[in-house]
Amino acid sequence: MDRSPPPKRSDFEALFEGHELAFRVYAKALLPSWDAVDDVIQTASLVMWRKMEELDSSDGFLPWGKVVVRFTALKHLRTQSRDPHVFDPELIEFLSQEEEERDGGRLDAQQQALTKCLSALGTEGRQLVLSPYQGHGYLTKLAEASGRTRNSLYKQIRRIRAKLEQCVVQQLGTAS
Amino acid sequence: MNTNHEHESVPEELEELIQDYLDERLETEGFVRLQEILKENSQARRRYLDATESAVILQDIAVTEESAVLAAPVKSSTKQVAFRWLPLGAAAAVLVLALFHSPWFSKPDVGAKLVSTSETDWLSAELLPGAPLAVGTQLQLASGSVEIAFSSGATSRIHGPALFEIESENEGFLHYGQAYSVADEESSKGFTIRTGSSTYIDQGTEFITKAAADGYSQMLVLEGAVDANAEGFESRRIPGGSGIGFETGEAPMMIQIERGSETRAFDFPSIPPPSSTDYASTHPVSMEIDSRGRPSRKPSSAPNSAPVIVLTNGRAQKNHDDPEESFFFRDDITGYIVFDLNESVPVTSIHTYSWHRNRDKPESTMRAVQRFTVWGAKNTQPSGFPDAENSSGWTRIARADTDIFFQVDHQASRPPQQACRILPAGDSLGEFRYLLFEVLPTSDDIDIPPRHTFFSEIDIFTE
Repeated sequence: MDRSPPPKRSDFEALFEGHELAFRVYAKALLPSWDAVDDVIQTASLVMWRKMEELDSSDGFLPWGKVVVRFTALKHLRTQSRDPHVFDPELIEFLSQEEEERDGGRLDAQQQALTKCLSALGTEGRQLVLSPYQGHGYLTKLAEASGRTRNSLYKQIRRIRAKLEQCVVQQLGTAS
Repeated sequence: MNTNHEHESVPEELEELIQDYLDERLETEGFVRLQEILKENSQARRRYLDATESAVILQDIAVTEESAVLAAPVKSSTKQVAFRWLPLGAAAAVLVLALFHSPWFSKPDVGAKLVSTSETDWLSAELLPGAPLAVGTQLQLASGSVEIAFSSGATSRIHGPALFEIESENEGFLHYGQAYSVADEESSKGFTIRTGSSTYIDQGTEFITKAAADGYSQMLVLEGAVDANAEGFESRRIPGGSGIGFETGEAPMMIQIERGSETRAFDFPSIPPPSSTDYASTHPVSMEIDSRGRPSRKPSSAPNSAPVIVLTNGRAQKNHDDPEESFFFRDDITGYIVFDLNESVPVTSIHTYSWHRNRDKPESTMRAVQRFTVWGAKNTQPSGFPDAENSSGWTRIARADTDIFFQVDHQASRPPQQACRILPAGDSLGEFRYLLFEVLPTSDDIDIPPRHTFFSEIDIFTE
């Protein structure tokens, strides 16, 4: 099969955005916090932009970009060596290898399934299941507003996640 | 979310560990257990990667979908501003770099270009991304942030409330607010941010500058090095991870804040370890403590705090959680420590030290933070304590907030061992018999319980 031509600079934005989710997944698998993911993806995107000439085909953007993300994440982790929630190098190596071997197409399918299942949850369930990703303190605010404890809300989030999981499995099963 | 049938029998323990880790709520013991399982079990790793995919997709939806943003009860915090800005990173990078070749930069009076805006509430005339910024342009924001690309290749992200002025193609003036700057191009070497009290000259790095309307400024180097200059002080090269601040006024002060080695040696990049030969350790200095906001009949110090005398015994804490060698106030009050030096003496520098890390109680890392204002009085002890409206006869010497210096926005990024050194522009901070440390709880964030610093030592030097 013919390979795609080398990407142009003007292609960068579309290429990066097309794979940004995959890059974030890779970074999150290796890093202990969302803040670290943001920092690493920001830096990695600039490195990719600067080194784009290294690519001889647009097809190679995702695996090449993941390598950039991995090295950027490792560099970041070296500065965070005192963080007690950083995985040790052996586990990071395992996770890197296994993540890079995963089928890239599965992420799109999962995203579609998850979006569909999320829309079926209803407003309250949707708000709850998204709340852990909306910044420090958001869950506390929700708890205060609803007169419940954080732990009680978190237990409910776990139950909703389990329902979402069943729905996504069903969706992916139907699609395949 | 589990998306793979072969993982349907994922043990409940593993599922909870993974979800708690991804939600940043896993404590140390659980983290150790999770790491152990993941290292031994490839199926567990597959489940972890599946769950990570789901979490990232949900986070993406939470951050970008308008419905999620509108539903948020919390008005945008700094973190949320950052979230909303960061997905634009790639686009911004393209725009920043493309602008270097733009014809706008060939005009001599255009020093920079507006790259992007995020939740920006303008006080000056609203500008749109792409607008050229002539030298002399002032950008005033009530809130939100803007990204600026200088024609030199440097970039600055300005966070409101702020007033920022373009001074040249490689220089800006931060009247007040916060600027995050990156100057890692050869052409941007020497990139400069000026404030009312200081000038910060980049040496190939990224750094954050903050300035207050009253002239106080501070700067933290994230990577590389920055030369810090202020009137009356010798130029200092500040390395990555360190910060510096400047007080203005009749007696300009420099405040250094550094991260320690987290050992009993209390090693810091340039601040010496606690001393047993400073004035407070070698002279008959007396100390009193008091507080505001304390329930009646309760002492100001915490029940398990050491007596305040430990602050001048010349000994540092022995470990990262050593209340017997730490003085700390009862939580949720404003504490006061008054030093009576017995006579008025020229104070040449003040050093403060703290150390605390309790890994199983993340909120307790708040006890490493130092938040205080130090005041002085020459001959007579004022009868009251200063408040927001009235200094009550005290002279303010300097302010310190180490969380601001270290740009702490989550528990893990807070140094557990910290030192602060206050130095004068001239020969001394002033002649004082009385020194008052007004010590605040280390956070006023309603989501974090108020805590007080585990102070190890306060050194007062007179020569």
